[in-house]
Amino acid sequence: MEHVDEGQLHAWLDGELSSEERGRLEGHIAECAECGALLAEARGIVAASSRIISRLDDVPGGVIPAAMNPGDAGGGAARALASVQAERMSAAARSRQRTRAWWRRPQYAAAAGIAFIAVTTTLVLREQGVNRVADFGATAASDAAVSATKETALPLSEALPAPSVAPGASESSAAAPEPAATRDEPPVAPGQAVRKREQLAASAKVGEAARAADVASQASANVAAADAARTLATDSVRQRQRLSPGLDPDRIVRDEARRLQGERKVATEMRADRSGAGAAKQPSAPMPSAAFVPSPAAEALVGCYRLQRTDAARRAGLGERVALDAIAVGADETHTLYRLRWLDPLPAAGPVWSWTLSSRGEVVLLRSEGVVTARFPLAVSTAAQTGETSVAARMECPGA
Amino acid sequence: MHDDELERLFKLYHAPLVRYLTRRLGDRDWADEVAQETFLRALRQDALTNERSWLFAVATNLVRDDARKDQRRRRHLQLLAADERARVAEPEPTSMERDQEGAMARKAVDSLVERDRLALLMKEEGLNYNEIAEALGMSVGSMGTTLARARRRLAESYEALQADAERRTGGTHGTR
Repeated sequence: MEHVDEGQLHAWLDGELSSEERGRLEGHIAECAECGALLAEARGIVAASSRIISRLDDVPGGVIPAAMNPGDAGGGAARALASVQAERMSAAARSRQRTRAWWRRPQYAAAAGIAFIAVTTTLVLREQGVNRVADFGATAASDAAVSATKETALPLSEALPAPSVAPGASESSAAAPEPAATRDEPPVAPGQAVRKREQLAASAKVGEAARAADVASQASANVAAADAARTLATDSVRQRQRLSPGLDPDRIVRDEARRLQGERKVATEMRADRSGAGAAKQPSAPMPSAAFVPSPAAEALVGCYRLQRTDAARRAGLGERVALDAIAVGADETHTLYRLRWLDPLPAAGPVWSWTLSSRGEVVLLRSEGVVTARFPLAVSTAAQTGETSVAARMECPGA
Repeated sequence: MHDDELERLFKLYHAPLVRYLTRRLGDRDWADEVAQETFLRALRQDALTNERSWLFAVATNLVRDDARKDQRRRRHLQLLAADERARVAEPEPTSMERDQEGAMARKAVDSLVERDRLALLMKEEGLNYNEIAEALGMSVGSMGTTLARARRRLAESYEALQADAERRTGGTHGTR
């Protein structure tokens, strides 16, 4: 195969190649250092481009599209819809009424109904489906990552605070004070409404499950990051405009180049495995637990990440470097919660952190404190289709 | 088109359309107006095939045709002027940096040729290559190349602006 061009790489990253084309391209990239480097650069550019575009949302007046904010998503659309319907009734008024977006006036925006939002959001999410997990462009890496996660040792210090939520804690009053970090952040709070039911279920299980996970972790110390190159777009839409000023496309490109080395290694090993040479290695790949098998989607995400946190996320206590493990520490009503380890000491000890995959396929970091759980979504896509903005770059796990 | 159908379209596409327009125009109010007009036009259609392409194409054309463009451009100029003032003022950390980043992003995006810019903004809203090609009257086969070029230029342009800003401010704006 001839060298791939940049357009093909972007089409691949955008998930627009047929399986045949994809196979050809992946095969070539695994063998061609030149094209591999080009791919790394392309990934960096895609990520940088998304972030740059997300900065356009800082529009005059500091207003971002209402529907980008989970807190009033339905409201904006509903009002706009009502507006259009009203205008349908009154064609004569059309040209006049367009002059001002009245549905965004505070009194209307405030009336947004949560139930309506939920329905709207769910519809959209269902429509997009869980396939978004593979949407981060590293289609080749999805298999590679599974393999790779079993390869690299991760002698990290345990940064996860000991579970402070005893099962009994779920009995405490739901009126417990909201953590200041959440309360003080208007941009975050609406989208992170305390989900009491979810918390009750989760907090009751975190303690037990974490203990089980400790046992499991002995067998799974190797389950950690490989260098399958990917970039996560993180955090909620609303935080998009609160980015820390650390964006540097060049740095992203450099990070990608480093990640590429790991990816190439993984691809090579996969081929070796297929040819039988590496078959003997399979049994040595530790699983998190004999009884528990993480979903492939979750397993593919295991690894260490450096987060470009929004200001709000930072205030809420998110660390800069995080390791996502495929070790179950609990579950809410519908999702498995996995272990999360901060790789840097956190300013505030106490909250119990975990991560999960939303039904949309997004990574969500969960901070549980008492009966309060705050959610910090990390959308697994470089494209800002969900409005995510902060970019979390996969990094080599310390010591790996 | 029935109200049910309109409601469905709204739920699916209003948010991305407004975001696309906001990014395109740098003006939320204007974006809202164009989005509203777009849905009004959808109402007059019996049925839409490739509805997302249709909505984005109509919105794009409305922007193009908007007679108030000049007026809005003046507002954009005012923003640029504000950015310039901020640059010479005393550094006042985050909000100024954010403003500056927003202004740089705007300049970088504006530096793209129109077709590349629109394709990129549509891609960011989740349109696939087929949909973008249809909305912009381009060939699907060229979409990878178009987006690759657009993204590269955007990143390079932004980087250049950032480097320039760093020189002006003595390097206070940089990587962590």
